[in-house]
Amino acid sequence: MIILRPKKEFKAPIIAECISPDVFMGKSIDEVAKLKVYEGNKERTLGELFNFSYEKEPEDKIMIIGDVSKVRKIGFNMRKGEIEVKGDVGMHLGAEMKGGKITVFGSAGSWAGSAMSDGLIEVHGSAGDFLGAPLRGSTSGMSGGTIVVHSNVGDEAGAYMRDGSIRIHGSAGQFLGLRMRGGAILVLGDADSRAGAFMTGGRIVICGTLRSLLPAFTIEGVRPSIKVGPEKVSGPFYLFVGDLTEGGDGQLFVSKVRNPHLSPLVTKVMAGE
Amino acid sequence: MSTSVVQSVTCPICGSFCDDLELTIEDGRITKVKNACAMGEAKFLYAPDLKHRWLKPMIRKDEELVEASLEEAVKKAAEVLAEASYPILYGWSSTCCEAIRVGIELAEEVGGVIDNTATVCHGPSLQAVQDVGLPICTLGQVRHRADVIVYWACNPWEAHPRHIERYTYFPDGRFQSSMWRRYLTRWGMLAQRKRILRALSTHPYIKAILPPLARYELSPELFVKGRKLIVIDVRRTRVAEAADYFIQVKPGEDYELLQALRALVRGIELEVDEVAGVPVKLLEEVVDVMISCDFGVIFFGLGLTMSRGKVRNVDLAIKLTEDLNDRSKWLIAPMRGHFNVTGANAVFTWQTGYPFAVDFSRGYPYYNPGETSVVDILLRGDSDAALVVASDPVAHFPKKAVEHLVKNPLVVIDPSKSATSLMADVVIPSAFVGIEAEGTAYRMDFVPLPLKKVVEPPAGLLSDEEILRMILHEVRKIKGVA
Amino acid sequence: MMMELLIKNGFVYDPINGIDGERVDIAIKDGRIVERVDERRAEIIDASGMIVMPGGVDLHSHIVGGKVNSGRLLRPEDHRKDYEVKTKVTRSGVGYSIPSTFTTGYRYSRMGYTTVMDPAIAPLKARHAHEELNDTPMIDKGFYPLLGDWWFVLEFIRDGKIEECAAHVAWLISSVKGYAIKLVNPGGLEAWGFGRNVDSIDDPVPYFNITPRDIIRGLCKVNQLLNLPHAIHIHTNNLGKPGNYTTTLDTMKCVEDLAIDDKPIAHVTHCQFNAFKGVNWKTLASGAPEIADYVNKHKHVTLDMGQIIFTDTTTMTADGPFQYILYKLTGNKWVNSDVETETSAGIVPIRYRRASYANAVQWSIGLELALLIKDTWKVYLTTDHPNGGPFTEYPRVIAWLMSRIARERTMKRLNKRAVAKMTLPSIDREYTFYEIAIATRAGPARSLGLKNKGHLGVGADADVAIYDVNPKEVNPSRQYKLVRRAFRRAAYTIKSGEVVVKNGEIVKSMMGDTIWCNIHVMPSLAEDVAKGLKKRFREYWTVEYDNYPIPEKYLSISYPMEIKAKV
Repeated sequence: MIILRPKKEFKAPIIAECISPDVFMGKSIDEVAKLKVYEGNKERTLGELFNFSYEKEPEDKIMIIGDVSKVRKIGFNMRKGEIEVKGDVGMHLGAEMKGGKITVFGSAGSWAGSAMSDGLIEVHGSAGDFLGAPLRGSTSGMSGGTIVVHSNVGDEAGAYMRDGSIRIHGSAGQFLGLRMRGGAILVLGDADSRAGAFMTGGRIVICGTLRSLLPAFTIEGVRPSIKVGPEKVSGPFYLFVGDLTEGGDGQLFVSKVRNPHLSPLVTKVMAGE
Repeated sequence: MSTSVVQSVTCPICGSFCDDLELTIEDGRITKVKNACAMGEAKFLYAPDLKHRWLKPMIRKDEELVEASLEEAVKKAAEVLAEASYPILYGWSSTCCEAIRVGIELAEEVGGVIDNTATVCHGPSLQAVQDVGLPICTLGQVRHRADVIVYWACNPWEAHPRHIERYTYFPDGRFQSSMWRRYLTRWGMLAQRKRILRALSTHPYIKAILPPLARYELSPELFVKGRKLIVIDVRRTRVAEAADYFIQVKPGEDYELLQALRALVRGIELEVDEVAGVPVKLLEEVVDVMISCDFGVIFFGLGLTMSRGKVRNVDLAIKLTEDLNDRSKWLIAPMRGHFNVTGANAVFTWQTGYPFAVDFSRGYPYYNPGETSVVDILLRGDSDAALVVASDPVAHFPKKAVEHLVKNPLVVIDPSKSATSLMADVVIPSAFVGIEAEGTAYRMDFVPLPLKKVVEPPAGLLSDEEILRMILHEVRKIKGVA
Repeated sequence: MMMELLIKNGFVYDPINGIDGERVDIAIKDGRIVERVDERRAEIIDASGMIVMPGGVDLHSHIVGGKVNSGRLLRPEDHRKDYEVKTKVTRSGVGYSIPSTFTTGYRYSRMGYTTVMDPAIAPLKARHAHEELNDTPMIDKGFYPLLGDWWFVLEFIRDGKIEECAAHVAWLISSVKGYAIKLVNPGGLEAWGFGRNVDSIDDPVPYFNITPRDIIRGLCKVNQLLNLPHAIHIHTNNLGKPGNYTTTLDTMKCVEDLAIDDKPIAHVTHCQFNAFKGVNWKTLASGAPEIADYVNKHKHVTLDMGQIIFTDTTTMTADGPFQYILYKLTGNKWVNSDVETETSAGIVPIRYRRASYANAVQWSIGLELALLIKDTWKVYLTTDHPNGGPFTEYPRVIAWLMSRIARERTMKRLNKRAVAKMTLPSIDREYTFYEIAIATRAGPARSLGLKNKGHLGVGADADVAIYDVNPKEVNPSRQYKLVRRAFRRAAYTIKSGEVVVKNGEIVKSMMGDTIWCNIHVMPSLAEDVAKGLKKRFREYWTVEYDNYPIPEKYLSISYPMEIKAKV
């Protein structure tokens, strides 16, 4: 295990795609210290920015201790091994990740797990916007793997998701599961409005309050409980289907108890049927 | 005394970028402006006035801005930029494309982040385009063909004063005729109605039973034939008063309204009676108008891009337009603010591939709004120097961003004495492009037009382009590549 | 600076001068090919074991302008996967299918191309195209303004006023500094103004009482009256629709009687997209044999391939209605851009897949056209960049043309049903280097009427490409990969007498010329045009008459071709 400690408080953004077990594996500390990173527009070596220490076991693990909230692309494209961060971490954490595990005891910036296809990211603090979502213009969202965030997340979490699962213990921002096609998102807290916008498939479960429901969703019924991955979450839940304007049949489960503001609509529609 | 008249002058104010102005020049001063709106006229008559501008380059020494030579100021500016680890180069929307081209070269040379004012106005629109596309057209196409015109969350009457008159509701086109006469008749009748209602409504009982002042209660002949104007906004603006349909949307709920309209266009029945404070019945009526026209167009403004939902509001508005093409011809266009913000996006795009927020720190263009957009950079405190060209972020950015901006070395190139220039470390005053310097700019519909030089700038003032070239040259000298 | 260069010992392929792989030394002085230079003073390039050809000429590649730039704007995901870092001599850039301007210039130059024409610019936005051309280094360039749906053209042709029409076209081309007359889905784009289209060359254009046939014939006559160097450049009606090969045949036939001598009068561009047989996408088949048969029997038309490559690319044409259909077919993002009184445009990203039946058929059509047309001077290599694929993939097309084995290897991976129906497997023909030189430089240069380009005779522009492949040792049929590699990265590219590329890398950045036609009609006629336009300008456009023409000083290096019209 290689342990990294930042030498100073960073100001300019650090782009450090090389901080990944795939890259570190088989390299000596000296070799690792020579890896290139960018601090703003200046090319630096990892050794100029971080102090290193080494522990024998486990071999494929990287631990970062300290505030690396300016450090971006940690674990980019990683395939195996483990990264543990004790402190806040910057954008693009585990972006395009294909395997392995990242644990953050702190908060993560935006685009954590962006377009990941496998592996596990667990953030014990909060996460920024675009959790698991691809970069602008791309429609290839998360296609596998798991993201767990223990606190809140920003807007557009799980956008363009095709498979895999996201579990949010806190609340979620707007446009949760935007243009989602598959996979599952579970929110234990509340969700801001516009959940499921443009969704065509997949499953969103909101255990708290949904601020408002989009007009292009229709009520399908009430379900006592719902399975998300291996886990059974008990409700009861309203089941809405949408986004109808996209011809979609994504499922949006919303806690019945926590969302009394939806009950007049549900009652009206069910009575009409 | 020498008097001359210059015709077909373009107006360096708003995105409508009218090019039919006629200026009278007497003794090297503009004395008369024909065809312009009040904003354009004011700019030509008063902006070049020496009272509001710096006439000499200024450098901050011991907390005070003091006069300096151009060479000194350029050298200082170059040092600031060349030494920085993560400089930002911001502004660009009120200068010409020629200057922007040099600006991008400079940003590349210093490894900085270059961003234009779209980042705080139509940036979300550009991002939406990158997600779903954009069916658009030039404004003449609207003039010739459009029989339904929608203004969504914008107020051209005030922000783009000649937009309606030149391009949409009031001009004559090949296939459509002007609605000017109808507007006047209706306006007269409305004024009369208002007077009566006002008189009646002094009585509390009558006031309670009076319906709201809805447009379609007027004589139907006034609405049946010809072009139709639909206005959707959070408040009843002047342009709303002129509209055939006005939909007052609850603030922050444009997305819901758009989705409801899209559902209706696609023939999906809504389960609610009211969306975003608007009765579904009214929406159904409006959708009928929209799908039965020959050519419709949606113009949208900052009310859509900067309110709750931002990118996704525009995203959905574009999807709505795309769907409307199954029923009729429909296009959509943003109401761009500054006269050359469109040009800034264009030049950025052809040189770097991206329309704004371009990060050169790794030697190639990288783009990721939210990460590489200047406001976000400033809020996170990433940057360590800044160049501002023809813009006033101190007056417009969030307070925290401004704090970081002025905390670090700041270079300003601007023809006028802006709030930002007062806070700067180096100020290099420039000539007003489109008045004292020539160039190229793009109208909001991507039509490029020439900016003209009609009078001489004050002695010693160069164009933005020339100043930027000098800085670039100086930077290369410092880096040893010149 | 008096630069003298001598290229020694290379195998020269210069079809215009009939040189077929012979060892000829090429002498260059002051940017021109000369008889001889002083060997002691000149810089010597030893091209032993290499191929020497004139610099490549591309007569149809969407590289600049409003539409291309909207394409760039539309596709950040295209740029992220392919970028170029700034070097001491080059600017940075991005883009796989729609590269930024500098990158476009560098990439063409690296492949040994020295002249490129953009085939579709809305005249109203010509200024934009020139601004981008000014930022496109390394190549000589120009563009064709879109004229097939310009209201003036439609009205004059409708009224039978062909000379007035010609005079107005002359004014427009000279004003916007364009090079040739381009027609895209003639009549269809005007109809698209109201969301409609035309479905044959005899389908009347709404509100104009005129048919596409009238427009094509009219502009063909105008082209002859104006003595323009290139033929009319046509993107036919019904492009991209199964069964459209008949429209293409109709288009070629409709101008048959206008031909004078043996001079080609119409260039049917990216013909692959317009040689579809079948009634729908499931029954799609190749119409290439029929079209090749016609072209083999007639002298008045030339074609270019519009070959597709199996990759992720971006389609962009002025054919608004076609792009809308493509948007509905693919569900991808869609840009439409209509231009008042003139034209339209559309953009849709696309991925051509080997497993797709339709795409596999399309792939075969392009190659069949090139292989079934006997006279190589009639069909040129293009991918309709970026519609069929980016121009950087030309070497792949060269390999397919030169090697049956290369084609067979590709076919093994294609949709089986499509391969079973193809004519292509039965075609043995393989291009020689000489024919490649025709298809990629001599042919297009001759078609464009660029007398100083596409050959290495004395007096020609010193635009030369040298490829590191030995034609005496390499058998392109078997070793097509070597050929492909050589054409990807020129050993040397010489532009205007200076070495700009060495071993596939840019060693010197330079600006090429912007080539345009300055057409002179009779002064009295020109005066009438100006007067009439001035009066009616505001009825047609939303810009002023004074602001429409582009002054010559706007072009970074202007190269006008002075042309005297017959009217």
